[in-house]
Amino acid sequence: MPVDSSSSDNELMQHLIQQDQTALAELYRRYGGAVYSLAYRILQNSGLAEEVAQDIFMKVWHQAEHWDPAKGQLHSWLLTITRYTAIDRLRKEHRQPALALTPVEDMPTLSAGYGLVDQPLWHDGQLLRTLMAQLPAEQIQVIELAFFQGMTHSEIAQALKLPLGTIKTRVRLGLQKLKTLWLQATDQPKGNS
Amino acid sequence: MSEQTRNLNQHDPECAAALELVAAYALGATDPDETLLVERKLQDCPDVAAELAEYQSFTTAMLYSAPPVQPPAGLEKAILAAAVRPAPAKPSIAPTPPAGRERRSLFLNPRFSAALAAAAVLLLVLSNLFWLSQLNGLRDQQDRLQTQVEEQNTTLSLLAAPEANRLQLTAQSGSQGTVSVTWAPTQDQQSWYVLLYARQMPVLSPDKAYQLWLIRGNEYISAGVFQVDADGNTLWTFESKQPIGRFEALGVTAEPAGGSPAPTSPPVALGNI
Repeated sequence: MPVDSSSSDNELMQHLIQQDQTALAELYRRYGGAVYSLAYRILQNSGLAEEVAQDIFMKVWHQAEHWDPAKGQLHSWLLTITRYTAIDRLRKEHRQPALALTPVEDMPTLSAGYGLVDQPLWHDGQLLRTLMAQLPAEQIQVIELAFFQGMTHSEIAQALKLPLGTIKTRVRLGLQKLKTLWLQATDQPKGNS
Repeated sequence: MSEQTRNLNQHDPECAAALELVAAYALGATDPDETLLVERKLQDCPDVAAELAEYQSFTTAMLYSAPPVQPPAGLEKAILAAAVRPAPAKPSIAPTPPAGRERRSLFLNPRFSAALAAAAVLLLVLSNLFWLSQLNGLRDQQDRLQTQVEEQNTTLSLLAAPEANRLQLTAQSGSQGTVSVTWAPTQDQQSWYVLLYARQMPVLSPDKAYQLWLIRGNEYISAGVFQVDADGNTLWTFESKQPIGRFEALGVTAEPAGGSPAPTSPPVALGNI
């Protein structure tokens, strides 16, 4: 049975293992926007983001059998690989970490054709982004450096020329506050901690 | 933190230390010695494992928190082309020493001649490979540009066609400017080309953007965000998977830059389909 937009991710990956190019095209249609957006978020450069996105889809094309559906959703796996690959590329390019994001007016056109719009995780992610905006700027900065630049406490301290203890405190307090905001926004009861 | 947890932490200082680091660990921010500590205490300290599970749901969500950005027009084609491209052949070096001559010359020394010939062949092969890769790169770039031009022409011609749908959104009370939206199905009918034209809209601060919504009853689906220039104008074309004609209305609100999961302010423009 040929793959199409109604095929499940499992079916899609089975077709990819068979080297079915229509499956590759469908995979891109579903998740190409998300992969590119995350790569761009990390690299802040459209050319490099394009190369990383192509690299990701080629990895999946050649190693589709490595995805284990028991371990999580396909798009989570794709985006995890994207994050690591983009951070690796950032380091290889010896790019200075972006301590401030590209201004909105300089960003590429924002996309409506985004295959994940029906996924709860995408909405969670977009909600998380709006919640993060409520944190103090210095906490946002260190959390983003850690997640989108792959920097550790020591690396952040060195980049920002601040004491290590200050960075650890900002990361910890920022994430604790984010967790509180998240629980409030999603109406979840707080844990015992 | 519960009393029991505090007691546990007091009895094992390493549990307390690991608990302090677990959020950073989930984020991947811990230094190597800190990472080892957290991983060592995951087994011994139940609270560390529980906290980690909660924070890991964050890091998963953060993968999806990047503002949605339109990939370059030729990326799909480049990916599909790369999938069919055979692996590049390894360069073959076949040093062929020239036949010897009787003249007494360094160049005619058999060993030197062989080495020189080998070097010349190697240089030739490497040079050819370099220019071949340059040529392939230029071809790829040309293909991408050609695709981009074709897509833009297709978009504009579809949007100009009589069967294209057009909607003029009405400025809501207190708002100014105009927004019109035109949409038409793509040739494969799997998605829709959309053109949004905004004129004389209020210019928002850099931390805000306009967001287009597809509205059906109480359901609001984001079609994306856009900015206007200094004159309040913008022309935005994109491809949407959502069947726009099946919605009841289109609306525009002002949101934080990057957009919101749902409208957070009254619409500045609204139109019934």
